[in-house]
Amino acid sequence: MSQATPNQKGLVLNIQHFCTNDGPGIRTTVFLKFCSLRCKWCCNPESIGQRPELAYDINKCIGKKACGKCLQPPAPEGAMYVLDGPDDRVHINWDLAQGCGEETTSVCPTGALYLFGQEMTVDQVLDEVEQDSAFYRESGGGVTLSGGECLLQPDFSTALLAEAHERGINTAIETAGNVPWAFMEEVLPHVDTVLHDHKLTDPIRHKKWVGADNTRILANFKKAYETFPDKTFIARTPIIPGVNDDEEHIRSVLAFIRPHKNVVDYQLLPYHRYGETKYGFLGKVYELEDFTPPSSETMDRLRAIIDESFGRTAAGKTG
Amino acid sequence: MAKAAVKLADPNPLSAQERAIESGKKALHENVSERILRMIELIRNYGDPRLTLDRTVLFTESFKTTEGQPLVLRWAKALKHIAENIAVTIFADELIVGRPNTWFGRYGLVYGELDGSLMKEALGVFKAVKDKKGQGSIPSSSVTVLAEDGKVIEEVLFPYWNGRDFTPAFIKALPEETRHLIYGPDPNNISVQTGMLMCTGAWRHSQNWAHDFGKILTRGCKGIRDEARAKLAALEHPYDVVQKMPFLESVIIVCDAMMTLAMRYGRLAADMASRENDQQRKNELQEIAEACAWVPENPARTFREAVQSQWFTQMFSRLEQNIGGQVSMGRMDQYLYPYYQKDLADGRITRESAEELLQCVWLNMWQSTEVKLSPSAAASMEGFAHFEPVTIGGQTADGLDATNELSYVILESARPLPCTYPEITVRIYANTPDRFLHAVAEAVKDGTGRPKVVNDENIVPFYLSNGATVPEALDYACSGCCESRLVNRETQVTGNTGTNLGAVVEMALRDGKSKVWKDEQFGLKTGDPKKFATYEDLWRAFCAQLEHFTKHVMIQQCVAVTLKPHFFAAPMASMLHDLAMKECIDLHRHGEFIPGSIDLPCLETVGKGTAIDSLAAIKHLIYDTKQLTWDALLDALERNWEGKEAIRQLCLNAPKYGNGIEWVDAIGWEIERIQLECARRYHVRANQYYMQRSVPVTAHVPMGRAVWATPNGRPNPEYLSEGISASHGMDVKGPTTALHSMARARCGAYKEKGADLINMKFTPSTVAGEDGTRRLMQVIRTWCELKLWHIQFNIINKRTLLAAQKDPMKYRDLIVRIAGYSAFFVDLSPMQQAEIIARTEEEMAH
Repeated sequence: MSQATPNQKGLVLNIQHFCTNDGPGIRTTVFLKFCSLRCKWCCNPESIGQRPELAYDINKCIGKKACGKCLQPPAPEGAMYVLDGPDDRVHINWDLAQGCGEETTSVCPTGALYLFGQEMTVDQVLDEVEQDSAFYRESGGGVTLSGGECLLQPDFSTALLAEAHERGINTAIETAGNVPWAFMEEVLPHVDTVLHDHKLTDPIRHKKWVGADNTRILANFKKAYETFPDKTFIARTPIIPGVNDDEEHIRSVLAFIRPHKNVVDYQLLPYHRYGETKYGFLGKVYELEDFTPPSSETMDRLRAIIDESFGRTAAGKTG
Repeated sequence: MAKAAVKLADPNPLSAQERAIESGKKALHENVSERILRMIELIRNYGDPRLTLDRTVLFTESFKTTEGQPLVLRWAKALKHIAENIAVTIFADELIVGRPNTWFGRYGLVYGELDGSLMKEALGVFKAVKDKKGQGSIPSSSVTVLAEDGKVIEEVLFPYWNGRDFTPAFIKALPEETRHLIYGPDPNNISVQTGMLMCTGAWRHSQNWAHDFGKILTRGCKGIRDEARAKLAALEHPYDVVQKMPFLESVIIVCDAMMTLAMRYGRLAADMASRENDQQRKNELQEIAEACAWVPENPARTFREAVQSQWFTQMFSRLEQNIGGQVSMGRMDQYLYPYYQKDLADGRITRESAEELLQCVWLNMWQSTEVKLSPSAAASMEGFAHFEPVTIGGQTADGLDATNELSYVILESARPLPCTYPEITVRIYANTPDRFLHAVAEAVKDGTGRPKVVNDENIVPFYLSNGATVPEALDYACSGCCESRLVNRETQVTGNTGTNLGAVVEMALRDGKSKVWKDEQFGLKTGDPKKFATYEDLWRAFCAQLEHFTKHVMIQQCVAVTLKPHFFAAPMASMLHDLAMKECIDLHRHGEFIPGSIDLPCLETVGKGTAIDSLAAIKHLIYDTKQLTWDALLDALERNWEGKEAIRQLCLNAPKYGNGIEWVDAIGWEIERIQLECARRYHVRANQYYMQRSVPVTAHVPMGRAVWATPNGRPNPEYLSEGISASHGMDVKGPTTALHSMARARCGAYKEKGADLINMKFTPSTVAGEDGTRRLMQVIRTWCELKLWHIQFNIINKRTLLAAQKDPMKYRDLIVRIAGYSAFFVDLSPMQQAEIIARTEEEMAH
């Protein structure tokens, strides 16, 4: 385990303010890049890779005639090109554009060319996070680390969360748990609330839909519940029709978590398709299965099972 | 991964207002009687507001007979003449009576003595707007003028007032350089301002004002008249006899006039009752007759009498003069509460009947529309701007929680109404009860932009540091858009000054010349920016231009304050003011400094975000990162960005105010400091300075037309930023960061840093359900903690606004938040509609 310092750097995807579904209160969520799962419904493809990635939004491009700055070096020859015809907006040859970095994107005046992911220090992140501190005070909120998989940058996450505590900020993480136990053990002492995903229970289906076995994940969670009895754990499942919207899955997760008093809730999040356009920005084709968002009836039905298990009446729940 | 989803069943829920419109319902909620619904329908069906001339015709008749007498006495006699002769009418369903017009529907008073010289020209403008509307284009603040009324204006009012009124006299009295800056190169222009500065002194008799209504309720006109009589009898000193006697005589005359008018209504009601066959209406008319026979002459005895007396007083105030944005209601849940409590205990009223009586007042206020004769004024106050805030909540003068049952009744009485009244203003402080804040958040979610909230944690210290006692400061009332008043200590009743910060930027970039005004030299010659070696050189040029503008708005303010006592008097407003009554001096003479008064003239600023972003873009692109040269930028600006999209994009993507960037926000703080320091240099009297504020109403739209392209990427004629908000859509980090930036860009180091306006737009889905209500409460609590001055919300879907542009008839009741007031969306000009649509839409991150 390395020494945590405020100068510790991590690869940050985005800092999102006014988040209300990532733990208690009004929160600021810091998305870290790099993920060890490959969920078939992933709506954040930009969060998967381990390096900064070139992205391009053609709708912002104003064309060769008005601009054309990216058609010259430092961009690799042929990486950006314009088709013949009236539409003179730039297109990307993604193979040639591999490895394009800030020197390429910084020439773009419109923000059409940009990078997903940037190196930031703990202090840089927290200085922005801390601007919302008045909102945390009033709402019981704080900072949430998400991803990607935030536990894949354990030293940075540890440094960031420890420093957040130094600054009096409540902390939470969102994790899928597919990491070596050592990483979890390093980070969790600095976390107040652990939001952890139970995407699927059955190991084979898990492997099919998520790209990895869930044996280590479940072992990690169980060990975490027992090692950190004072931490608050909240289990979550993104509900994807046809994948995990069955009562059986919900009940098996409940069976897994209910023996542990420090798992205080189990939340279901309906799948959405907001990520579709982002595949295009990365030069990737959205060729995933055609998932549809779950109906509100399904959500209500599944949530009722959870409420029953936790001894709550369904009426008190909203959302 | 876990970011995979939001917890929303319905991704696009509607606000209560949107639901009502979509389902063709007349009211947003159920707590509204058939009577109220009938009256709303009649008012809406009457259509555009119509000019009502009776007040000015009678005022003019009287003025013709009193020439040479002390002005305050002439005013009182004119009011008496009006009270004795104006038509009195009571319409079906009315419970609270009194109106200066003769129809049931919206009306607009005009005032010959204010700007009668503009009347003829205004007739042409009104007609042009009306014709345009007839051609199917989107209507905009359209006013009806009947042919017979046009004739009265042309034959009676204009001939008398042309050249006798305040507006041209004010313009003539301005030093030429100041006049040129405000009214432009044409020396004969008296109607259209250049847009460099804003000077509202010529648009209204009085700056926003709240009367001490409690005085009328507890003492009655009789009590006030007795006080005036006693004072009159005690006058001895020859100086006093000359100076004070006319004032005291005026007070007595005005009290008599108010009683006379009320009596006439009482007699009419009694007469109508005697001829009424419907027993229920007969009873109602008898109750009206009894109330009008008793108030405002005597102290009110019941809730109904108190409400009737309050309405008479505000109606009389409208006859007396135009207060900018009309009359503020003061702390209604405080001064009406004893009557409510007593009547409820005695079984004289129910909560429902109290709500209905209040709703009758709201509908009366709705009909009284502020019509502007000056096109510049009309454009700055679009959608018939009105600021008649009804203040509720907050703390009492004793420092205790002021929330009472009536606070809730007032709040709830407003919620069902599909109209732009009343303008509920909630005072929030650190310890506002959650129950009350919850009710407020629920009301905000209706989506009509009301209530707005103001912050005790900012405003009370503001007054304390500017000379008020603790009980006085705790007892402030909202007045005007989001400003406030101490109704017995403050005296500043002259319209205000305004500085176009976008134009200041242009002056610094174009050596003091305005491109829109064909290179007219309005600013100082601060040199060619290409020769500015550093950002500091540009900053110095900007400051010089800002100080130049500031100096000239102060010059015009001085002219207005000096000239007004020769043109205006307000004996009724004055008799309700402790200090004016004590010194026997009319409030319009506040420039002489009424002993004990807090008299803070005001420096309005417009386009703060535009100026910050323009300076930040230059600093970042030209000096810090050297991505751009002055040659390239100035060339692109001269072309209004045409053919220069790449440079405009660079400017649009430069660091922007509202995103938590410290050095950018700091520019805003510095701009305010420069202006405050400048004002301190030319202060009026020891320890009282011009206050600085940002409450532009809709002035950022016309003022945007006056400013050429600006380096923040804005083309001409687009609007400037509004209030202290970031430029439209440029605050991309969400509401928490935007509020943080706004708090940091406020120059709180100065005690005279005053009101600021904040607009925030949420989609209904963001605040849906109980979770959403709690969230909104937390946002308001945090805003309170950040010690910002004011905030208001539009809770609306963008698609509703776009649909309303296409189908104005279906959406004729759609209300949106503008500045410190709400307006019907269809009453706005296309540019103002676009401005509303462009405001940053805050969504919860998912």
